[in-house]
Amino acid sequence: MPASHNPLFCIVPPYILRNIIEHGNPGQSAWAQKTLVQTNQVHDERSDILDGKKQLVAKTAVPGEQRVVYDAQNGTALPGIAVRREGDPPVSDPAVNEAYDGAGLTYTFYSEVYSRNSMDNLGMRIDSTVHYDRSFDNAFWNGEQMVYGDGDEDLPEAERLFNRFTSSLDVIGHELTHGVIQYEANLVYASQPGALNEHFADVFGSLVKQRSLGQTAAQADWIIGAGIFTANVNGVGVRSMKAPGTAYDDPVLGKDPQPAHMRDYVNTTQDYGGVHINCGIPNLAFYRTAMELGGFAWEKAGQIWYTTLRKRITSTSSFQQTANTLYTVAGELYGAGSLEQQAVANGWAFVGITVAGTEPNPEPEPEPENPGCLSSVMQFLGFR
Amino acid sequence: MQIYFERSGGFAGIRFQTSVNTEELPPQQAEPLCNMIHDASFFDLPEELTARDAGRDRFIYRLTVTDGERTHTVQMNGSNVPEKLQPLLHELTAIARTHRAH
Ligand SMILES: [Zn+2]
Repeated sequence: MPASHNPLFCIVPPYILRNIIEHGNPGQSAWAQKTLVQTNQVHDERSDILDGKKQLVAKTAVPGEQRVVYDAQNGTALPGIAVRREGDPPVSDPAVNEAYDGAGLTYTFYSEVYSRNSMDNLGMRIDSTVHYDRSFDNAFWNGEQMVYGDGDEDLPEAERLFNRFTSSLDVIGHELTHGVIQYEANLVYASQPGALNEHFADVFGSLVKQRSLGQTAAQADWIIGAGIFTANVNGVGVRSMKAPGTAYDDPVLGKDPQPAHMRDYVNTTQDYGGVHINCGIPNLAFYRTAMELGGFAWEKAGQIWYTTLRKRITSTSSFQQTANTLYTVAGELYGAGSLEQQAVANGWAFVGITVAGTEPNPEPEPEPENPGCLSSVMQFLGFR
Repeated sequence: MQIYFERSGGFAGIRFQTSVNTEELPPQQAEPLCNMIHDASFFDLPEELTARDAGRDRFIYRLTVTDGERTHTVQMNGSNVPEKLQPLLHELTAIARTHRAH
């Protein structure tokens, strides 16, 4: 039904629609979601007309999806110059097209699998900037948008270690997911909550890629950032969810420092308290759960993790608290004592975390993390 | 002048670090480094420029410079990295990459 024919269209305020999305039955929730998208689009069009931009805005074919790719032209000012908007044809610059297509695949993944509409679930515009800075070996989410460097594309070929960061779909899925996390559990970016922030970004980044390739859990490579390293690096990618600590071992980059078990948890003040290091532990728990359940990982394991991320955990949740909540959520979704719930407990037991109320892991108990660690890392980083 | 540089974090979480003594470098390499430290008014910068809201997957830099009696450390991330310090960080990152062998 076209938006203008819906009699409730202008009557139901957005905050009520959001309530219905959260608390209504599936039918009500879907209706409210659709109505909210339409409302947002009309508001956007109104404000576009008001500031005279209407004729400049390319109209989208897919409701709710609004992508813009910008070019920073090797500077650091954001967002840069808009070079491709929603519905525009491909351009000659592959980085622009990769950012555009990757954001589209990630948007579609969230929309089709979890009925989520963009990072904020309200159809927020998806902005990406490419060609950020010079020799920039990184991709990041700045709180509002995604940003990608060109890796070492400006260096002589023999010295290059990193390709451009848009060249790996799971990197794009990872960065967009940082946006999703910000609007959901909003995990603090230090120590265990920070490592969980990285973990959820890795999980959904990998699932976006797996779904785009039509791979089951058993068929997937479970590598994060495959294709980011050049042939000069001895490694298959940046992280391995399947075997943390084995992704690379290189004379220049060193060895993959990820632990695969709580007994090897790395206490450090570097990297916001080792957020990209210790995410190896929950990553392996997810991989084990997904493998035990079989089939497409985004269907059951992904659903349990996504539901948990949606404010069932808090911004300061630890590994243990998150494991407990995942177990509870799996019971709610698939039944108490179900195979799905058991797979979650087994996944975490494998990395040394016994879910509350389950049989303790026969392996030796890991050393619990110093409870003051989060606050001390935050203090070290100057967070107040 | 003694410079200690460390970069951690980032999507890949790979740490780069290097220690440079400008007195041990040929003048054509030492001079630009000293100039960049001077141009950035490094010793006047606050020690703590780390923002909690800098975003996700951003690098954290930690830079310590000792010049005679003076020693100063600055830790920074994201858009808090002073514009004038960026050439020095680029240069030190390049040096750290070539020196890294551990
Ligand atoms: Zn990340």
